[in-house]
Amino acid sequence: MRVEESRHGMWFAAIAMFVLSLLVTAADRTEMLSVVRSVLHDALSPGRLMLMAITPQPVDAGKRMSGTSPVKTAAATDLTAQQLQTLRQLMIENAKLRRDLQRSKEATVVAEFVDPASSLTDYAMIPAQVISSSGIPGALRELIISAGKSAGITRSELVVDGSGAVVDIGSDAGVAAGDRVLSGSSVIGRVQKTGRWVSMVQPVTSADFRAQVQLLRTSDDGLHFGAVGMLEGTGTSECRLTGITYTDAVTVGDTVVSADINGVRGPRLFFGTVTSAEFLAGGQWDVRIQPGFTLAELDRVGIVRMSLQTDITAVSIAVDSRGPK
Amino acid sequence: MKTISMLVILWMTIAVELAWSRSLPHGALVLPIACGIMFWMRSVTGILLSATALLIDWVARPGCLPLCPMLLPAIAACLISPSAKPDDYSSRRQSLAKMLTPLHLPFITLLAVSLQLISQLNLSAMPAAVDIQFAVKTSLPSLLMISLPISAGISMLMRLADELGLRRASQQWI
Repeated sequence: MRVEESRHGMWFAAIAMFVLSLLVTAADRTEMLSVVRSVLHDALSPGRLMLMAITPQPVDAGKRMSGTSPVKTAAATDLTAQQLQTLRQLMIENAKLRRDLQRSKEATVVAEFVDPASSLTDYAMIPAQVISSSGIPGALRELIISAGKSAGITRSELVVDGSGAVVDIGSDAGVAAGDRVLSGSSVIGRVQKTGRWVSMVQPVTSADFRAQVQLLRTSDDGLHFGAVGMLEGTGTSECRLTGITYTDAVTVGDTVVSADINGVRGPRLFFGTVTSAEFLAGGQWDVRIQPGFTLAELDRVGIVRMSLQTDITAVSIAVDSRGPK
Repeated sequence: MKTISMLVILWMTIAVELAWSRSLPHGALVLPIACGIMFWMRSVTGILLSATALLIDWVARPGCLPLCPMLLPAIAACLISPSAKPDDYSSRRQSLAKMLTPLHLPFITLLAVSLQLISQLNLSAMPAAVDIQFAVKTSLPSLLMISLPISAGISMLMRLADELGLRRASQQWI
């Protein structure tokens, strides 16, 4: 009798779990699990953080190689004459680059003086690890990253590619030393909800995502900023650009960068590239944008944090010292 | 006490997978341990605990469908539900089915890994043969390489616990 009861109990449990799984799937499809998911990750975070704390930090491949193979290390340090010459050339190039960087810094100082408001804001990138990219991979709905309120993350902060992808404009595009080159990380989305140790990210492809962006075109004459519009997610793998007037020029291949960060002028961040631009009969542009990140690369991300430099005295002194005499 | 211990083990397993998500394939630890707990406890509580853990894992890192928490409890119930027929554990007669019982756990782990792979495919459309081939070639070996030895280890541990009398008589080796 007891055996029968036990067997029935097991089958009842199996059926109950089947039904519960179906209900949970339905809740996930209707995006009702977002809150639960965040709470779950927070509940699992103490164990995860404890393990990460006791795990030695990964070293880069070169260091790991040198640590495991002393023979290889000895061989690597034994520089040949050709390698020495290469080293010398690199040192010369390094010196040139350092000089260019110095010039670029001086140019930036001038630019900051022209736009004094920029000196009031400070931008920092907080690194985070992608814990989970939920949803069907093709239609990334949300990401969960390992940084939350405990790291000072607040809602609506931009999340960028942690590998530091830059706007792809360099010497190949005819940019020479001394030209102002815009660089910035590729925007993945923005923080939608923060937990204590984790945050949920709304990707740029999400249907609710909106950001003010600007078109950027490279020509033989250099870089040209184009029309300002609104980038909207479509819920698919691409985005849409709206608010472009019929008089503005849009070309396939144009780069889309941020016009501002949360309403404040800041570093230009890469959003994507224009993949199709059709002029509709109604006198409007239908512009489609391919985001600048791929799902396979999303291991580490960075959160762009803007802070206000409230030390007015320091700022004013800085402006005074930079001002033209 | 045992339930709490199993709960802690499952919680830690999911935390380990999350912490080392770069090096550990999804489900490599959770699946064999959840199956092991089902077989170790051999009760309704064991099935509910493990399936709930698998469901929580799916909620935390969702795929297309939670096939493991959906189907694994039923498969486990088939294998571990007590039989009304007299148990021949104590008898000297060794049937083939009896000899194969230690392989039940690795078998259910293999099934769990297969379900996990299927649930990771995009089932909203009919998956292409190339996608299936790619998933089998890339994910399956790494998943099996970790989960099968763990499963075999738990299986041996259960046998050892039975021999040493560490499991209750009603939960003895099936």
